[in-house]
Amino acid sequence: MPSPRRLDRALQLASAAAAAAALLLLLGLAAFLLRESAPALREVGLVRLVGDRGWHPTRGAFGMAPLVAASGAVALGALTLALPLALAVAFVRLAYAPPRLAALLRALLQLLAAVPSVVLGFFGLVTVVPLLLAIEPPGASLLAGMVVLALMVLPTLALLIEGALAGLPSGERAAAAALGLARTTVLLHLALPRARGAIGAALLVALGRALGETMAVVLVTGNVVQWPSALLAPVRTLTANLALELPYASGLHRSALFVAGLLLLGATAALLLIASRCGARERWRGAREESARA
Amino acid sequence: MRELAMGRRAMERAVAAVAWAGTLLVVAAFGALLGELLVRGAGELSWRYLVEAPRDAGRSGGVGGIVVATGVLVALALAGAVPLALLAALFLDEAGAAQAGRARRRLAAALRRVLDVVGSVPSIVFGLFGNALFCRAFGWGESLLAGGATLACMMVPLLTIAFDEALQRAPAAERAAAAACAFSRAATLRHVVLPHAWPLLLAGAVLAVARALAETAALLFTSGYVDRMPTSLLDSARSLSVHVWDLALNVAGGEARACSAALLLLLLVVAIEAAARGALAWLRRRAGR
Amino acid sequence: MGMAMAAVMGARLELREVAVDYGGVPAVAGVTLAIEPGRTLALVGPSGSGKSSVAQCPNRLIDLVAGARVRGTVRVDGRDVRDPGVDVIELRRQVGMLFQRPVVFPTTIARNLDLPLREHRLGDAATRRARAEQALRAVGLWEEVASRLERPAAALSGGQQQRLCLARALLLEPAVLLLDEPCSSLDPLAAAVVEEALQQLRGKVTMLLVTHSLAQAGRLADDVALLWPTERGGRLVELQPAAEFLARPRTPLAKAFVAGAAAG
Ligand SMILES: Nc1ncnc2c1ncn2[C@@H]1O[C@H](COP(=O)(O)OP(=O)(O)OP(=O)(O)O)[C@@H](O)[C@H]1O
Ligand SMILES: [Mg+2]
Repeated sequence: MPSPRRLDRALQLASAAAAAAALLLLLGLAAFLLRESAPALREVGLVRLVGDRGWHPTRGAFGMAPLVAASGAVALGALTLALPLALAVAFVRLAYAPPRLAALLRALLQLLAAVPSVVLGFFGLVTVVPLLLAIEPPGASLLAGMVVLALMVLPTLALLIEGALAGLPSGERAAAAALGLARTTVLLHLALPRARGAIGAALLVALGRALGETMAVVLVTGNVVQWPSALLAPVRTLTANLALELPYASGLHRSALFVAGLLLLGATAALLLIASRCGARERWRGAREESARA
Repeated sequence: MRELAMGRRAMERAVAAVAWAGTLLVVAAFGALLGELLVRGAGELSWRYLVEAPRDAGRSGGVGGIVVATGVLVALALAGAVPLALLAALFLDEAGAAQAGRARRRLAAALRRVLDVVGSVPSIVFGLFGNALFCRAFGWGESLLAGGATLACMMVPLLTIAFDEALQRAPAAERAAAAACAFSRAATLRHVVLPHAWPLLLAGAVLAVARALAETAALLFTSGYVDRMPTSLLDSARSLSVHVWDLALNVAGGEARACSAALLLLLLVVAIEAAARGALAWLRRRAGR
Repeated sequence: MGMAMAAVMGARLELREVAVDYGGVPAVAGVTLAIEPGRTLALVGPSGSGKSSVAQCPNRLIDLVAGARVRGTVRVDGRDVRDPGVDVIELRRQVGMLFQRPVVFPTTIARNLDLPLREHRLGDAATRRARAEQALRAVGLWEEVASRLERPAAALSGGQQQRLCLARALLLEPAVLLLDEPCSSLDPLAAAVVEEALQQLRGKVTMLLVTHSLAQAGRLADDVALLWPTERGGRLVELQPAAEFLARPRTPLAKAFVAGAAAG
């Protein structure tokens, strides 16, 4: 058996090494994506990667703009759908539901958050898409992607928003109760304005997740490369494009796909950093309360 | 005055009604998800389905080799990520509690931020990374090993954050008492920190298993699609999640079987999550008494 | 060798110009005092005068507080405790500590005592059990817990827990004991029992006793030191033999402190 001091020293070294490895993970991620995308960046160039007419890599057209636009449209649409629903659930849990039901709702949200995105996408494929198909073919469309992604981000968004709304100082809560203010009034006029920053941060986090999601989207958006022009028209997102093309891509095509990966990495990292800057304290407080009550 | 009060009351009712309606919609969507999969997928679920090999690209037969491959992938990911994450969490713990040097504390702050960032990186980007690093640079090809390693990379930030939180559960007073008894750090960890932290450590690991099971995009280009029973870690094999995706998107007439596989996956993930959360709540209640 | 304690007469503890600040906010301003081997010094003073901060310097427990900074020198048996060559673990074996609130480890009574012994490789299982029993007897706890050594320590009463902690500290045969208000979280009866246990240790180990009770200082200590909070941290305003301090405080602050304590 090693002596306690030797063990401590070994532990210290090993944990420092592990910390360094974890730090290197981000560097490695960026480095490998850069390395693989270098040929495309060099030989095709940023101008063409943005400006080429459409994405036909086998014919030498590398314009990713429609893919980027589709990603943005699906993600923003999903947030637009999810935000009011998340607020509704948070309000019900905080103010209207009896404690038992509120606890049940929480469990439901946690379970919904655990649903694998491929299952969610498949659900969209067999229910949402046929519904939309009845309105206008082909059904697999921008809107279908929005609905499925909204379902995906909703649970986390609702829990984060609830954490932010519940962060009202207890003194203020007591004062409001002493004034006989109704719970709705307290939520709408006291808690909501105060939680705006945190809700903004939660939305940014959700946006990052929506932008980066692959499986839930690729199964329901139809995957036609075109500008998102109508809700019921099919689109292809950056992530879906990766899932569909990387398995067979080679050469510049493969390299251009890694550029898309780099773009996704940069976008989600930037969103997270902005979120933690603009709402870090609130987010932290919310998360703490969340885990305390869990 | 009175009219105003009436107006406010009506407004409140309206807000409550809208909120309830929204919540019901969410519950209904979740119900539809479960109902759809149960109605269409439950019929196929049986022991035979679990052990039989898939036939005809998965249109018939079971998910035998796929279940095994899924288990191997998750086990590989855990084996890679848990030790690393635990040590990294110990680093954070040490840098936070002790009179650590400024450099060490800075490093810890940087590490926390980096973990946040890496934890938010889309899984398909990890798939690209794993494909470039493990499949190509390391020459492992599309294989269980490459898929497991990619999953491990994804799990490190989640696990480290969870473990870090778990270690913080040990009261500062008990750490101080251990120091006053001249305990080494290893002894303090073992006898003081671990007894407080282990339920959350375990819960963190179990939740990571659920995440790994659910993962699809990171495996598409790293562990591949082959649906045979794997015989070596360098075999390409498909996870249950990839099986769902493949049946749904690439196999004409695969929808029914995709339902079964999706239901199986959902049940597994939800059962693991619920078990972890339930056990944790139970342990807490017991500790509270 | 009975409780090996009897052989050890304690070490000399010496503080010279010890100053403490927390993230730049001063808590203790240059305290100088010495305790001869085997003697007991009571550290008294108003809340916030830096008593606990001083008490955490000799075993460097203050290192655990992020942002805390110590200046000056603390010597145990002539050796500067912050000397780079000093092994903190060895130091803390030599300098034991008892806190205001009893802190038992989250395990059984027996293991609370066995862990430190095992950690420091002090004997085989049978020897360790014997030493644990000795320590429990030394603090008058043996009769009360002999039948439930395998029960959780947290189930003991506060006074019992504090005596268990004292027994745990004694097991390592410290030369110096730091006692930070060891009785103030206890009810009067339990406090009396703990005080009795400390009384038994007088002369066998050097003790630094932080207390709010002048009466306790009078009963347990050879000398009394009074700290007083100032903007630049707690200062030592008077250091006298205990009887003298209680009967004839010299400085105005000490007079006020003794009078206040008598009135309260
Ligand atoms: N961990 C800490 N961080 C910041 N400031 C601290 C910390 N511990 C103590 N202080 C400050 O240092 C000063 C001295 O505190 P200390 O606990 O040493 O006083 P004390 O004499 O023991 O008081 P009491 O009688 O209340 O126990 C106080 O002003 C206190 O606020
Ligand atoms: Mg104190």
